[in-house]
Amino acid sequence: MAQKLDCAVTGTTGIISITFSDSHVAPTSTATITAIDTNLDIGDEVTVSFGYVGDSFLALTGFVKNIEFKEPEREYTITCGNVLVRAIDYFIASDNPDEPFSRQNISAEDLIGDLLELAGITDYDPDPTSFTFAINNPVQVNLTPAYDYIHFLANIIAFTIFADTDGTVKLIDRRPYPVVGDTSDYTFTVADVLEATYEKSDVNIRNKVIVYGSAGISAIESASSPYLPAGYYRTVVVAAPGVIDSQSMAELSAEYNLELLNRLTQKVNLSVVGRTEVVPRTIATVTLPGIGVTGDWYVYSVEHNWSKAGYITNLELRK
Amino acid sequence: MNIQVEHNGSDISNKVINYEREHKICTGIGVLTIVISDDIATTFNPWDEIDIFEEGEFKVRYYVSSVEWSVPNSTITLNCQDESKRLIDYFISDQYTVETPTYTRFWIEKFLDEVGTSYQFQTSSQGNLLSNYTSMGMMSAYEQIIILLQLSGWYMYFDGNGVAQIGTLNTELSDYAGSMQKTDILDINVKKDDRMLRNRAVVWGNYNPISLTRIFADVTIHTPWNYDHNDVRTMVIANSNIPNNSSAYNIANLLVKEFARITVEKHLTVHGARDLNLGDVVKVYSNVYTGSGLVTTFGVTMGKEGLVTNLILDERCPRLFGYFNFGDYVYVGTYGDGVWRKHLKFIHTWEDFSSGLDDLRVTDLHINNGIFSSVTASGGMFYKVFDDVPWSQIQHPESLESSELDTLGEGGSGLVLIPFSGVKARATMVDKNLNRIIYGLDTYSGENLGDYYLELSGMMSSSGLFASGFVVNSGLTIDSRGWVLAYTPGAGSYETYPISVSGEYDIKVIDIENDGKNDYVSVALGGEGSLPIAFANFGYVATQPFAATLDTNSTVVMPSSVDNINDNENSATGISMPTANKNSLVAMDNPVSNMRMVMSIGKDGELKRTKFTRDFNEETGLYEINASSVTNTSGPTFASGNTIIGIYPNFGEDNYIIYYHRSSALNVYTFYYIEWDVPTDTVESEVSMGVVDYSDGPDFNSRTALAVNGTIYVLGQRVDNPATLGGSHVSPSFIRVNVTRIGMQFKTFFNDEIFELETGLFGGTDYYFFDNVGLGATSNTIFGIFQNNNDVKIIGWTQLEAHDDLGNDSYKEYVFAGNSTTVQFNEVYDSDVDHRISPNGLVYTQINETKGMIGWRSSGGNTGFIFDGTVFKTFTDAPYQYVQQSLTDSLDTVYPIFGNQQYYIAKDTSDGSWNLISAANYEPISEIVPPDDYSIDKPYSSVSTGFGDKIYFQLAGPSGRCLVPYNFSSFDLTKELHPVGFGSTFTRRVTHLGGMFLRESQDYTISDPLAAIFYIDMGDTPNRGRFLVLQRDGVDFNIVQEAAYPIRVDISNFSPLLTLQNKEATFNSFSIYDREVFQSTISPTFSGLLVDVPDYRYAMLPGSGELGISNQAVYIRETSVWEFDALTFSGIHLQYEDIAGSGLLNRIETSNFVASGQYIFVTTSGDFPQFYQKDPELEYFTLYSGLPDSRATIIRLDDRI
Repeated sequence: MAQKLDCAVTGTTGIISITFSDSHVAPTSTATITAIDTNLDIGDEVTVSFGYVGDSFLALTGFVKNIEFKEPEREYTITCGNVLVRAIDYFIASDNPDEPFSRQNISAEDLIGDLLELAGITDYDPDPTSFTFAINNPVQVNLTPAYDYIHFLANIIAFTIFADTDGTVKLIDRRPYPVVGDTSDYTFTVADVLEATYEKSDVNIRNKVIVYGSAGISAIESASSPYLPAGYYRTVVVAAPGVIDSQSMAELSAEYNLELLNRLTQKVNLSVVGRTEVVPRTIATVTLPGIGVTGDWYVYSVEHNWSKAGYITNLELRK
Repeated sequence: MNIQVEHNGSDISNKVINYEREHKICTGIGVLTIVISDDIATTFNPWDEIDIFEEGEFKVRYYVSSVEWSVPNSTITLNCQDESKRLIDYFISDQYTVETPTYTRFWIEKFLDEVGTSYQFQTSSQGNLLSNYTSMGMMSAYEQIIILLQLSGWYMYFDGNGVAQIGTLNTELSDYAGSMQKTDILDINVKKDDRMLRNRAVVWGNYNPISLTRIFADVTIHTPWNYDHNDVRTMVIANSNIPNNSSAYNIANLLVKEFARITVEKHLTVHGARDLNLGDVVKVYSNVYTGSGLVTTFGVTMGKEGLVTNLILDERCPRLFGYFNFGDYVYVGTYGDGVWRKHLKFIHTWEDFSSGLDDLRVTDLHINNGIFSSVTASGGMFYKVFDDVPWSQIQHPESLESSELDTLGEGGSGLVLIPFSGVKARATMVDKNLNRIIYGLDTYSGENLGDYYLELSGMMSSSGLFASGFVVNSGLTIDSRGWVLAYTPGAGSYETYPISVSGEYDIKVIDIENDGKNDYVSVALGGEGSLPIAFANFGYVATQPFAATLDTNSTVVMPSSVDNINDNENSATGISMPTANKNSLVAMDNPVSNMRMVMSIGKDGELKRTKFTRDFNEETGLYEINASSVTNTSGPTFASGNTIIGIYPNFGEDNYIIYYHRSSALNVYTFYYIEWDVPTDTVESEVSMGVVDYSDGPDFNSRTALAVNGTIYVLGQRVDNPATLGGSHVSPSFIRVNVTRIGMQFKTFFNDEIFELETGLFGGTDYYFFDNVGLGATSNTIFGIFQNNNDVKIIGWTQLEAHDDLGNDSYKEYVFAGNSTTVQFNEVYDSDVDHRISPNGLVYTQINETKGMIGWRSSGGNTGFIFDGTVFKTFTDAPYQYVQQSLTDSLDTVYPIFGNQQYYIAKDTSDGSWNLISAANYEPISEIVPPDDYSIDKPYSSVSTGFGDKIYFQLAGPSGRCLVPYNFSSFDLTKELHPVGFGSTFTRRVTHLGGMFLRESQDYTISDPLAAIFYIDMGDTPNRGRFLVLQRDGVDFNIVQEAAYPIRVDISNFSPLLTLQNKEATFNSFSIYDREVFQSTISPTFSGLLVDVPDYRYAMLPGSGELGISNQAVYIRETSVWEFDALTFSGIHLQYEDIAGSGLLNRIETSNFVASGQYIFVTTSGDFPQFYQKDPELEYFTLYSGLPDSRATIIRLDDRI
């Protein structure tokens, strides 16, 4: 039986459509709303919820980035990003060229927290990382967008940074594939799926990681890959001078990143009737024997297309 | 379609399938993509010439960059570029190093010459200085020249003939190159985004190896589109070509001016090929956007859809900035002559801009992107879309006057309000981004005057006729309504938003603003259900004692009594007294000198004029208003004994004051008026108005005069007959009361006998009545006249003694109450009742407007009495109360507390103690104990109307005599006031008008006419309503600020919201974000600079002592313009002094975005205003005369400038 659609966007009425997308790697989730009327303006705080009557979900808490009003349609198109747009917008530039932002002997999560705070983000909930940066000499950060540097730090430690739907920024140890201990959050069977494709590729395999830290510090981790010719190594370099200045941290980073990158990319794209509960960084159990896809998959990205024409959820799953 | 395409001079139009060309101001590049049928017998090669002709005119020559053949489409696609192709294709293969100081223009010309293209500079400037060792070359000529343009604040584009046009874009905003009507527009999008929003600019320049420092500039401001005050979006330019800090700050300032706002682009497609160029200003009429726009991208598309023009208006460029140099007009609104304008740069002749205005008293005006809005004195809403059409009026929506909307929703009272004078617009603003026109409306009465001090002063309210906005429909609770009305001129539609705060709708609109995101409306909100009552609002005076003094006609009369004060120390305040000699104070404005003065008439009958200043006393931390200079004038003089009874402005001729006075005869009085031209001290001859003969009653006890609502009331009360005849008592035949009324505005004169009490009414014929006054024993008949809203109240009391034929004495007492037309009486005592007041002792009485009467007998028992003269009916039902005085008899020490119905204060003369007395039973409640080391002289209570509970004691303390507030339980020594020169030459009388204390000398002399007036900022705002600034967010109104005084609001560009009440120290600054209101903290840097601020703005200007720009508040302070940082309140400084000589300034306006500096405009106060203009590149003002005679109410530029 068809369900009745429901939605709510701050200060907006006559909503025609909502497109919401989020992914494991996107700096921010985004929502694009078309509507008849709105009192939102650039920079306004906004929440976006949609789904069905009795089954809607808060998709985004963030800010308005773009508004377009056009004629003859007489429609508004509003684009919003979640709270991490603050870090994207914030360009770190010291007010004293000789005294840039710096920290010493600081955990990775605290350094990221300090950078987020520069951008005005204080609602931050990190997992412990076991990484300590700039143990011997201070790390200096200047002339870079805050998000870029935060993302760089997260990459060093192979963690993921994102903002949840409530606007809390999280730093988690989350690989973009199912790991031991994961439990399934939802299932997709043939009956659920409108469209599906499966793809696997070696394009993202890196089986050798070299980490360069401060002077004299480096670490190399490598392993053979069953998907590459024997003895063949694809190398990625993590250059973090000034940030990693201890051998143990360099080795830890190399180890984490090798585990992250030395994998065959397997990707499933699904299109299903709108599922409000589906968000990235969760686990889905998929049973699609027709294309040889079964088991638990990591929800890598999600796009919800909600409109008067219906509600479709598109997912990219990985393992 | 009238197009022609030529290839190397040959017409190939019939082979052209479609083309699309586009020129962008941000890149300076024009491109053409043209699709041609491949059956053309022509070979195309790079650098071939493609000439485009549209509507019969040659447009642009392009050069082929690439050729694509497509199969099976059978087309040839040519990608072409205009002359800019030469720059892009040319690589500067040499490296150049600047070894001597040179300017950017030199290098631009050099590289253009090297490329071999033609160019033309639109500026004579040499550009910016390049530092030594600057390296250039080894890049394309285009890249190199863009860098140099960026450093110069210039732009470049190639015209149709391939000539590079370089320099600042000099655009006349009012010189429209095209008009896009609704029927022209195929589609239109308005796009807003914050991609290019940057509110901080950091510039790093050359490193100085000698000083070991780096050239550096860092400029930050706030915008409403930032998420909160922590959201700082930085742009950084690091370029070794920047030689010094000054250049670095120039660039940083340009960056901030350009990028500290969101991008609001208008994308249009219109039919046909329009003859437009980059930099043209066009008119746009549509439902989405109506207003002007600058063409920043221009293109034409030809294809199967037809020939259409694509325009993008108002783009901002990521690499080029600060190259606009707008020309336009400056506009001045006047109170009587409409709107006038003159050009900023070229023709400085004022021209009338009022066509279509049916009320030429313009009180508010705003302009944005070619949309004009105005409000007139009568509350009319006017607008015009572009400057070449007459003003149109927007009718007040009928729905706002409907009973449905005027019915209070909250509380369920269902009270239907009838607007006193209908809906009136109070203020207007044009939305800074979308060009909606916003008006603030309300249903309060009173016309707009276009002057803060005129409209919102309590003094004005007390004068009544000038009162604006505080007069409510009589008989109704003071509730009215206010709205924000947003009018979309393109659609011709409006929306209204009822203003409410926490369910309260009692709103008066004061001012309105917009930051491109939200509307901000300043309102007065009824406090606890009532705004100050008009005509009886002396209480309001208390908080702004001199506020109403800055413009024409702001004269206020406050009657006072000298004799009564000097002769009756126990009397209450000097507002209305049953004594003969009247004194008057006038706080006035002289439109020429604009001095604030108090004028007084002394016992010598001579007028004195005292100039006042308000000074901050560093020692006490309090403000004092001192008579800093005293001037005797040659103003009206009067015969000895004549009494001034009223002072009024002459409406017929500004600057004239009318004095009403009365002769000094004993029983026959002649009433006169005299007109006095204050600026010239020219006095006309006195003119007789009428004669009142009181000779029928020689016992003439009252000739009290009182001015209320523009009318002088003179109370005459007398008793017939000499009281003795041959040593025997003789009955008087009557007591009579008459009231003389003088209309001060129109000089009308009436005298009415309103009451007569005849002997026969007192009982049988065997009784003889007499008035004891005649015996000289006691003062047993007393009448008083008091202000009662816009009328007067008369109350009185008499005691009569009767002797019958048997020689028995008996006594009766009567009370009287009435208004200006009738007085009633009632018997309240006769000898059959035990308690009586008199005889056998003196009876002292006091009358005041709220308590009625209080009496005290001097001997024969501790008795007193009181009756409430406010409700006459109660006299019968509940005769006056007897007071069982348990204090020792203390005849001269009873002090009523005005406005308070619960207490009196009395002094026990036996031990000198002071006591709080119950008004209910006259029993002492508690002793009032002065602070240690202080003793009490006497208390002073404020007048009524909402200030009743404010009471001050004059104390003698360690530091001398002082005034200290008392809250019925303790004294607040932190607010101890030590009046200057509080010496023995002054009475201990103090007239207390709320926060203002008028201390009077014992005797007025020419050399010492008035002594001083002191002002106490009492800190706690009286209940006279609340003044709020509200942010409109949809239909919701959020409180941004609440203050003690009416608040003015200004958002000169986009942020901050800079508010002002009345004085310098009342500036407030708010950086408002969606989730945060960040209020700047007012620093005490204004100490000693606490003067009225007639007008203010802010603009991006270099701050004091710093190189970087900031939003500098610019405000008028008497003859000068002062500045301070509008965010930090630091760096307050005098910027321009004595602009109009000694002429006082009243209005100011600035530009917001002019690159090299800002325009500043000011006008002088009063009628015959003078206009002064400071150009951006200059540091002095130039007089541009020719404005009409009426006073200037506002100066405006288009907000885009």
